[in-house]
Amino acid sequence: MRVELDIFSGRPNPTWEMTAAQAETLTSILREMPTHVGQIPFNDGLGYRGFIIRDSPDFDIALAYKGCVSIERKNQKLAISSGERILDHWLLENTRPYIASEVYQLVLTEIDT
Amino acid sequence: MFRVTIDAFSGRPNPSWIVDNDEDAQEVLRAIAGQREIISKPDEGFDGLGYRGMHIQLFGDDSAEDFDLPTSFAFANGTGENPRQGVEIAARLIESMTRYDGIVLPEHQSTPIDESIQKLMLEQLRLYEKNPPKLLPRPPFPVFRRRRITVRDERCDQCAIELSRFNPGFWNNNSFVRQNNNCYNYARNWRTDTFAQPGRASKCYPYPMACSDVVNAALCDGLVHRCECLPDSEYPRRFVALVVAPGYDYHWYRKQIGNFWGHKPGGTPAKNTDNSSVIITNPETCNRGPYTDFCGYFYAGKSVKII
Repeated sequence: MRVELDIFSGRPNPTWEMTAAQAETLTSILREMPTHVGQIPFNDGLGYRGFIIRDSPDFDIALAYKGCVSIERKNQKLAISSGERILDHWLLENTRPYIASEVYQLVLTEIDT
Repeated sequence: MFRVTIDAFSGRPNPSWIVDNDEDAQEVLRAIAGQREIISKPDEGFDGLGYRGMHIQLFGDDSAEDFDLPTSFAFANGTGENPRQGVEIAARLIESMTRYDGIVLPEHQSTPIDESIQKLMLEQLRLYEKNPPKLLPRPPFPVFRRRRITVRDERCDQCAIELSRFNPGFWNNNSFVRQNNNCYNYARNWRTDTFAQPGRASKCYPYPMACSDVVNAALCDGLVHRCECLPDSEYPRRFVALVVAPGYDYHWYRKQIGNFWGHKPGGTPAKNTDNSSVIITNPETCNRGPYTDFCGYFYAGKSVKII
């Protein structure tokens, strides 16, 4: 599975490939998340816009943003969420080796605001 | 300036190149505009194996108006009353293709713009001319509204600039275009599908993400500081603004008709609102999220090349 931190405007976004162990952890986190109720948070402007996950055997594309995960599978959409924003934090920690410390700090701040 | 693609292959990428010589580009567009009935939408026409048609992709969201042509179209593709019309223009384009191998596209690795491809394409074009596919007549192409005006820069009255009508659909309607063009593409108004970087075309890249460095890279590409007036020969002259998120990224805006600014944050849709969903009337004061440093205003004339 491929993870993209959607944050930049000019430069290409940081991307990385998950290991099998990371993919397993992701699946178990997603499995624990209940259906999302209410508006789905999103940002299509400047700054942190979430983590995009592609090439999963379970879905076509997923966007994790501020506790909510929007999943698309065969043109069907599903939103799940967790109040603690566990997935944002887990993805950020795993993205850390691929980004500058300034970017890490910015995302860390934005996830929780 | 436009991109030509010969729709002909099935497995490998189609031959594609960028006509970056302005005189050549104008001549071709003038010839096509003179026989406007030859053009069709890119997804129309012959869809079998072998030569299927010529596709032209103009680089800007407003550049079609110079010749009353759409920004993306096909010709010599089996459509129209006489499908042989346009073949000579297609042949001229193919005969000149090897002159345009200077701008290297990712497709050139598998399909180089060389003499063997040129020969093959000319042969296929002649086969098409001899025996064009028979298709049903297509509906006429819509006529385009004027999308660009010339005004004076209010801070430097002696400088003329061009503003375009806000046309987000050009960038947003096709997900490939949206994902592969960024704020620099939008500001320069050039769809390159390469996620263009300041200085990459002029070999001034990479650089640290600070105002002075990104400005230098942009100047390398041919942008000039505000109030350094560009001559009429640089028409259209875009009016753009640069901001930086210190240490990690930059962002550009372009002024539009209607006293507001358009922009395109990365691979997200082009828009004219800021991070507070307010229409951007001043890029210095709008909500720019982490892009806290305002670096200045610039003009981008037609000779600015980005990739």
